[in-house]
Amino acid sequence: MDINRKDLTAGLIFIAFAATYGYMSLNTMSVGTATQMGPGFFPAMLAACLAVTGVAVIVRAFSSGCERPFGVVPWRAITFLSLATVVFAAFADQLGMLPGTFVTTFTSCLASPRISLRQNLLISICLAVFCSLVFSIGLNVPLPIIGGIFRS
Amino acid sequence: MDVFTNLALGFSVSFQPINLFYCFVGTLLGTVVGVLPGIGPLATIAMLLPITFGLSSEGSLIMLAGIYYGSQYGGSTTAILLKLPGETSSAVTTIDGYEMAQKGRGGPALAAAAIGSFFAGSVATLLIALLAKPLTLLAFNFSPAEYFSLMVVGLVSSIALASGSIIKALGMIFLGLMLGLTGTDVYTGAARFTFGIHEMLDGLEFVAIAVGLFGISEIMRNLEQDGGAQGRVAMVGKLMPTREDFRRMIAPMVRGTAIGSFLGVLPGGGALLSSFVAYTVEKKVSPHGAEMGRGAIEGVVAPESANNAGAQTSFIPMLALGIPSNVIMALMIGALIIQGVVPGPGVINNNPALFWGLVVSMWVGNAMLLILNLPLVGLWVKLLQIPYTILFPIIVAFCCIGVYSVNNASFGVYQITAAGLLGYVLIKLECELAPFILGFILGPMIEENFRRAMLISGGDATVFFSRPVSAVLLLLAAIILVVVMVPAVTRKRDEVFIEEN
Repeated sequence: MDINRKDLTAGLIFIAFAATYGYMSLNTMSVGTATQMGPGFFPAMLAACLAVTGVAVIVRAFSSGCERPFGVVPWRAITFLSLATVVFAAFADQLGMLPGTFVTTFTSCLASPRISLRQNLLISICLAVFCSLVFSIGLNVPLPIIGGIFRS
Repeated sequence: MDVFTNLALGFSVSFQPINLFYCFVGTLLGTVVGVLPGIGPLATIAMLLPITFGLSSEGSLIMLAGIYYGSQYGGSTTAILLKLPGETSSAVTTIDGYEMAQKGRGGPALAAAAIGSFFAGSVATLLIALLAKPLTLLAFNFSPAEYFSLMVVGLVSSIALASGSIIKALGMIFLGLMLGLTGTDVYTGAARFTFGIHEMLDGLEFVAIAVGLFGISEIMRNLEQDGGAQGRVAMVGKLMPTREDFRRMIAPMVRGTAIGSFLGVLPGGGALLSSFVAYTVEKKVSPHGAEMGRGAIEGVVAPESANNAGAQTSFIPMLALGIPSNVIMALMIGALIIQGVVPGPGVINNNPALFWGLVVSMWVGNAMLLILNLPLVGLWVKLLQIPYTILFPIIVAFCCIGVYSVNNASFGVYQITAAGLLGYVLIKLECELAPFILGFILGPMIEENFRRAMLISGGDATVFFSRPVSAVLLLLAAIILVVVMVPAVTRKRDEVFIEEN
């Protein structure tokens, strides 16, 4: 039997969210009554709806009779793009705008095999300088150009 | 006549030099970013949103509106010259637009898009001026039950626009609504779904979620094949349309504007639906309908007029009722809230300068676009040639800095990462992101109105059916749901969306 794996996965994701959020609404919050609803009432309702939808999607996955391939998964892009945003979030405060943007851009450039190391450095340096000028100096984003760890 | 006093106020606000400047910067920036391949209006607005934080509320909204239709227009340029629709609403434009460009008539195609957009924008602005006040008065009679039902209509119609499976779109709405409830419950002060993280007491950051879903995950998708190679830019050729072109443009322009203006007002409507319907209608009605698909100017001017008119009139429900009819309006509401303006029927009375200033600035912005775009088309073609491998690191950096500056805190940037990953997985599983984000922004509003309505009625859920307006709205939602679920319609819908590819 052909199973539509995309639908199956989507259905499972829906149910996982519904189960987690439903459990939290019912067990960690007061549900209240229909007149005086507690914080858990509406989310519990939504979780129930989502669970039903998830089941329906899974049922369809088994009955649609067509296999849908996932296609190429760009692991490299996913990894480095996620890493780039995390790096910014984790270190921008300490590093400051110039080094922070440089590290972030450098990391995100690694996502594409078409960018050579030389190009990467060029893009990263230019962008770090540009962002420092535009955002720190021009628009007063309160992120110092050079962060605290370089100053001690 | 009331309308004229209001428009006069609007002109006085939007013609203040500083606001003219914001409008100009907005349209220019919007066009510049929108022209870049692979970035639609949504990502453009999300990226540029932080720039407007420091401005007055009028200035900020005027600039955002400018960014919106600027990027909308920029998307048409990529559609015509690169066969790459920057956003879904210019997808149909690629059909005839790129065909024209291949025949060396890219210039007239771009001009047709610009002129059609300007005409449509002018008509739609007038419509907003005429309709906003009566609609607001209507809105003041709305009780929580009606608001709840109206939002249900909006959510359900977002399914009608989803190109994939209806049931999955429904799931995405529930998921969005649920995640939207993250944070402190307004009635009891209880923390919800914060997983013990202190920063999440304020809820998830809307801008960060939008940036992650529509910016980062889009880059991942673009890098799927070949690390981000890109197509060839078509020739522009002579810019001015011929006399014959002009003659053929008038009727489609008027029809497109009418269709777009009407569909834009409907919840869930807006630019996308408008452009598809206008193209289909044109194919049936126009004497040159048979040429469409092979580079007919009607196929460019009709959908472009329609999507601009729809983009503009979709401001009406947002401004008059405080309810976003599509994802872009959801972002606008986010921006309004950041500015400390509570969207809804109160705005027009409490803040008439903001309201009418925005309305008139839309027209001003459209005029600027016309002036800006036709002579500068050479510059846009240059921009189109920037390789994607240089663009995407810039987008990532801008997204990070932009989201950081919303609260001057890193926590939002972590949310980009999470939203980017979730968005990419969901795109891969053919789940639509638009219903999700609409649910996300409506979550708190819909819950609040639901709770209030139930409180007033003493826990009696029939209140949603016993109040006539609410009942009609829910009936409408049910009809939409049934119609999109009927297989015959589904097949038709598939056809329309296949043409897009």
